[in-house]
Amino acid sequence: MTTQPVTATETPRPEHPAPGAAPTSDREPDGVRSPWRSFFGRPSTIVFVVVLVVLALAAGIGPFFVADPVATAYPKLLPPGGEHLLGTDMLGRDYLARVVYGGQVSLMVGFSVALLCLTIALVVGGLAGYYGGILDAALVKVAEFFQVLPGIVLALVAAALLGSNMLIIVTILAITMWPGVARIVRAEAMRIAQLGYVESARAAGFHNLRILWSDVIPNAMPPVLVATSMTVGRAILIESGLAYLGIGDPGNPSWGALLNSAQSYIRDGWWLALFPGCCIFLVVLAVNVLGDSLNDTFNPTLGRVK
Amino acid sequence: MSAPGTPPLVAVEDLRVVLPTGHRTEVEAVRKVSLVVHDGERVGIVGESGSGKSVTARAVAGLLPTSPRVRVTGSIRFAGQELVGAGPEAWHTIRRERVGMIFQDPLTSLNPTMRIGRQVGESLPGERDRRARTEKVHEYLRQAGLENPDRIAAAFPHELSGGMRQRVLIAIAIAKSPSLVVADEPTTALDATVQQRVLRTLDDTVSELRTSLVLISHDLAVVAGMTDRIYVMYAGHIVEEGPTDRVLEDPQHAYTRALLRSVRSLTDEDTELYSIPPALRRELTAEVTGAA
Repeated sequence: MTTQPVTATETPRPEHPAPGAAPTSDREPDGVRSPWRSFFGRPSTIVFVVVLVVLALAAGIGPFFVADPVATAYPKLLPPGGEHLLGTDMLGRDYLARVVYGGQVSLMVGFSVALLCLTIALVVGGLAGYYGGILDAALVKVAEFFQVLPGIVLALVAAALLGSNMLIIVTILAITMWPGVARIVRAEAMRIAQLGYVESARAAGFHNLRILWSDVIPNAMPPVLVATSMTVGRAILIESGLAYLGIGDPGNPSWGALLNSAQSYIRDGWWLALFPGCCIFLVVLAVNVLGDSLNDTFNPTLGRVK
Repeated sequence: MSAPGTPPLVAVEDLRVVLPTGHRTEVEAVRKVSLVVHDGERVGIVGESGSGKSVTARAVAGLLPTSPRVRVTGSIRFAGQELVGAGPEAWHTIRRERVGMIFQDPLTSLNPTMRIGRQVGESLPGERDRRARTEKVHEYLRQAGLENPDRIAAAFPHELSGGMRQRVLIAIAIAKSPSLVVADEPTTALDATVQQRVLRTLDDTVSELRTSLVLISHDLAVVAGMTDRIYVMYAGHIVEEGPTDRVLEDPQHAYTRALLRSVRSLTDEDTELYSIPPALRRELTAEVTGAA
């Protein structure tokens, strides 16, 4: 888990020999800035933040610079280089444009599914783990119901009934993927609810929801963040699987859809599979590594004497 | 001490607490305990492990587990208000405004993801202005004997030593200006030299604020210097109570005498370590179960 324990332990320290700064500034002395400083102090973090930012920027502002992704005006299966940086595809479309537009879809799906999963998981898992008892039993049953729901069948049915657009795909992925994260939240909340500082908070007369929000959830975050970052990668992969089955917006092909349509041309156009594949690989790797460093940074006691 | 006529700050009468120990079994952890704490009074509760002193304190703070198998009967009145059977709102108010708790283990009693300043600030009643809040947090940290309060306030709990953390807990407990501070074995997790200093701090702050104190300890030496009155507990039962000096100098009950003797055998040289003889144990058990 710990990628760079040495930097993690050393970076927060230089803060403290500089007293006076905290109380005199307008910012609250207990502001949340310094964990970020240690987060960005790791070389692996910087590399993958750069990767992620470049890919996100490419998806975000790239469309202003690339050619029309649906114009079939160019020669077919042109290898990368020259006028077309990533070559052209089997219909003679500029592949760079297609990868850039595909990134918009894939990144949107990945991150919005992860965000939705995290939100649902924190609410359901937190309540179930902290309160226990009947509420716990009921919420675990609900989570199990959604966990055994076959995502692909659900997606097929929804696509048939409602049409397939991105909103529906994101919703279905979130509905089928949140229980995995919620389980981790619940287990952590159960453990933390027994700890001394929760009892202290109760003794200080704080209400349960307040304790859940400010004591239980922040301390449950490290493993939850890692699980959520994995969700980004899995959502991108599942979305490409769905795209392969034809569930997806054919007008806006994602990286997964590009990868799947490249299958039949793997001999004539290796670049058709390579570039979207690399993009998926890099994004999934980056979010996992960043999730791991987030874990190390926001758990101030990790690797130290508690 | 309170003027005659006004009710004492805490009045516990015939308190019984039954706790589940297994699937079908249960134990009567506290049997018919009655005790009072007056305004500004410092009261000690001593007894060995399992004598029910912590359970009594938890019952008074309403911190026993909320299971239907945990049964609390009798009466706990806080400033005249009956709390046994009271709703959660009454408890919340009491805990939020009137009682400060200091627990045994300072190492786990602070939220590791929150800076000290915020944890102390959370228990300040209704101070909205951020700067005034910070000022007050520093003031309470200083009062709890912590130098450099601005540095401490910006630190996370794991960056402080055990003694410093216990001082932070003292600061948190006094920050709400409570009428009662309950300290449950506040120094057992600390080593002997730090223990002394932390106890002195607790003593000073409590005396300065004229707050009542309930100090729970198995260590008679700790209780001796810091309390006006003590209760000696054995097996969920109060076997002796009285002014601290009187109880320590002229103990009336056989158990208190045995307890004092075992402490002295620790400090005096040339004495063999004394432990309570089995015959006295049997006698005590008979007395307690008979009385309960």
